Amino acid sequence: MRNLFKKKPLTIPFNNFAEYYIGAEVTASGNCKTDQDVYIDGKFHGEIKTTGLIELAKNSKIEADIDARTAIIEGDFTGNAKVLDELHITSCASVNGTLQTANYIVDKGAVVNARTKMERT
Amino acid sequence: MYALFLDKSAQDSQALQAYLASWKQSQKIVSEDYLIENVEQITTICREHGKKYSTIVGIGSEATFQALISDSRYFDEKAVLAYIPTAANILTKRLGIKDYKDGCAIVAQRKIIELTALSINQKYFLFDYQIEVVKGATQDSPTTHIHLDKTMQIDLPTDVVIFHNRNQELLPHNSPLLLEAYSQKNLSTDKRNVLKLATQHLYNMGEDEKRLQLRIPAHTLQIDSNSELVDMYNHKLKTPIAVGLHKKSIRLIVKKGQELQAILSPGLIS
Repeated sequence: MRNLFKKKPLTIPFNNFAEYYIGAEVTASGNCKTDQDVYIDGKFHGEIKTTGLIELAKNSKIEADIDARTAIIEGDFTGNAKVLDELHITSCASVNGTLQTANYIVDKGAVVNARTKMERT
Repeated sequence: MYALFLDKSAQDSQALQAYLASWKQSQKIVSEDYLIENVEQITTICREHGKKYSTIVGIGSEATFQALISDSRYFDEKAVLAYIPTAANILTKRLGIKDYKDGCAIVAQRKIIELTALSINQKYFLFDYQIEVVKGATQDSPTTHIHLDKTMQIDLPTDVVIFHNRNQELLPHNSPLLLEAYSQKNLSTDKRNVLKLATQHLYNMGEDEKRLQLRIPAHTLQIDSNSELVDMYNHKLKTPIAVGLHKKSIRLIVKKGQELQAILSPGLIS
């Protein structure tokens, strides 16, 4: 019998209709400052600042300082993350660095080696 | 005075030639006619004679009209551009021109709108500009380097880069151009329609979207590649390619009643 209460694995649809989209085969470095959502599926090194959402996809490799309203980390992240509203680290993510946020969700299976500071907004 | 640029497709059509002759007579149009073998000739003519014409008409393919837009810096500021097609294409769709007879009628009506062109290697484009990477037989990994607004560097193994000029929208103005890179050369024509793309549902991605490698806004950028780059008309481009918001107003003759939205984004209307 199908277990109706079995929790479905979280799959976040990847939005490549965003104004900032860096695909899987792309390597980017530098500074990105925007008020749009940012989606990265490739490699990024540098700094990202947005008043919107940052989504780092499953196979992404990010070495960066990020500053966002909301962030979803599914890939390999090293750096400092400052997230105003909510930081969600999914089960396949690997995170190293420092994290600062108001709301913090870590899925089972995620590898997090980070100093975390939580602040109410 | 009018300047009429007739490309090979226009020269080959005797019906069009006959219609043009009677149209010019009936409209009392004084013109200098240039029979163009290739679009490269347009630059030379425009450089030497561009300033003396009040109306410049490209007759033939979309590439002929695009070449006139590219060289619009040689025209008088008040000069207007118009297009008479020999076959249906995305430009005829934008401008609402059915055929060459309709094109002639539209030119005669002289409904003028002003659009903003962007520059690429000191040439101009109105709507979109496409760059293709020519893969060499021995080369297995062509890489394109993009320097974006002097703040970001991007490397990717792309086949096609498209620049969308979004400054035609009523609001907001002064938008950065939108760069898109794809891993496939043959994209659907809808790809040249950024507004339609934006309205598509997230989960209903077409094949083009699956090939999307990069989408990013930029004010200025420079593109270089270890492969040869050509534009959508197969003209070889000198690298590095500099793209920017060095804006130029283009006065364009369009069909009366043709919505601005249709001109900018024909896919949304049809």
